Amino acid sequence: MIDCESFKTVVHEIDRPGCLEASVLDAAWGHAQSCARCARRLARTRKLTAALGALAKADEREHAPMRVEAQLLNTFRVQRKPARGFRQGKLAWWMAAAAAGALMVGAGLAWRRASVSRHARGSASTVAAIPRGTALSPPQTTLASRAGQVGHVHHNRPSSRTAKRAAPTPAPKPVAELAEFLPLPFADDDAPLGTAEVVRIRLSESALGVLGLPVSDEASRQPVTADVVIGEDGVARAIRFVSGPVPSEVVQQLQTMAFESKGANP
Amino acid sequence: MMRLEDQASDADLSRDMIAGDEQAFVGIYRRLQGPLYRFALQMTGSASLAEEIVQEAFMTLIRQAASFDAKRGTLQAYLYGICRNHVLRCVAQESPYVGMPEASSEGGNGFSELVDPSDLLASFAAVESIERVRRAVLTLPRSYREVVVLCDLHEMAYEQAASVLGCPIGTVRSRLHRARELLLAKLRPRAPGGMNVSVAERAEGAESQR
Repeated sequence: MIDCESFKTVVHEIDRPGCLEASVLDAAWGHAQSCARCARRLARTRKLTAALGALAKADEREHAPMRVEAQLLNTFRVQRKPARGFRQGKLAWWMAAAAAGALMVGAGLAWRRASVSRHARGSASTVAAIPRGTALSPPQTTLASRAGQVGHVHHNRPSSRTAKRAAPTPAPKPVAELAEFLPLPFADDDAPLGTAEVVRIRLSESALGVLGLPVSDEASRQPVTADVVIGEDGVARAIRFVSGPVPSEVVQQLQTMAFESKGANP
Repeated sequence: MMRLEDQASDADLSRDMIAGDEQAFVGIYRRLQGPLYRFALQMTGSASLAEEIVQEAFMTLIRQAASFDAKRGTLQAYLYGICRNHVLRCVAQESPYVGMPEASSEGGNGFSELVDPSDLLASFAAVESIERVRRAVLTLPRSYREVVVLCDLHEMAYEQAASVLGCPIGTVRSRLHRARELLLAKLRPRAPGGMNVSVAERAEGAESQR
């Protein structure tokens, strides 16, 4: 059984399916049949439910105006574009980053090769130590052969980092392409070189006479780049022309003099 | 009211919408805009506010679609929740709704007009009754109003309403009970002297006890 107070607490759920247990529902029905006041309460509650249902039914036709859909659709399209653009932009960013990384690695490798190459060339031509006791007696002494010695000298005392860097360096290609060293006139070929140095100089063609070389009357003032071997005694021993308009007759004369010197001092 | 079998496709639609499918968005909108608009209308009593709230709710969905988790609830409940937040914001900004007069100027007796729904819709008086009920709902305190709108007007189960409101089922039940009692009191027929029937009944009862 159920009393009026209990009926009051469940009256709004009597017609709501699944809210009350069957036993409670039966008791509530029984009480409403026996209590006129609770029966009126149940009737009023049902009228309220019906009225709310009528309101819900009347509002069924209500919906947002069509312009809302159009505005939202425009917004959706605008929002979607940046989303795709962001994804594409992200992909492009990653591609750019990868390309930049590859470029940096490539540039690093190129710089490293150039650095090692410069190092090898510089050590061979600019300021190089030539082993003590090495004579410049052979007139056809080439920088290639000297370079081998010079390189050997340098490789005897490298820093570990230099050694690591220089280790993978291929044979100094530019050296093989360079011209041969020619002994200078008046140089004492039999005297030991001692710790000689190779110095790169730039001078005008007309200034070759300082070195005892023949200078033609039409010598130009254009600079000539040459590598000069300077012995321990400070005397220039040999020269190699690196660039510049050196007349071929100068070179020929130097070679002839060297040949004659070789013949005189076998 | 959304049928349960439609909810599975809600998850598909929301997934497609997140992927940028325009048709999926349109599908979601057309399916849910009506109930959401009605919810906003019944909560605020203003068509312009309801329109604004629906627009804001779907704008939120567009911007934050990824935040919807189908494991945590239905898309419908998710959107109702968004709508409710916008409603609360609007209600806080707007001036509070002025309470309805207890009796109509035409001398209608309120609760006595609550008759069969088919009769209500058949006449002008019925339409007027519906408007009276609407106004009565709108004068309820907000926490009671929303349970009446969700459970009675939108026929949500207690669990669904609790999911939308973010409160326990027991709270929904107790609030609904109290809200309906308030509605009954608001719609109770008035005595000829302008006195509320319930007050008249109480006075009558006290007289008889003497």
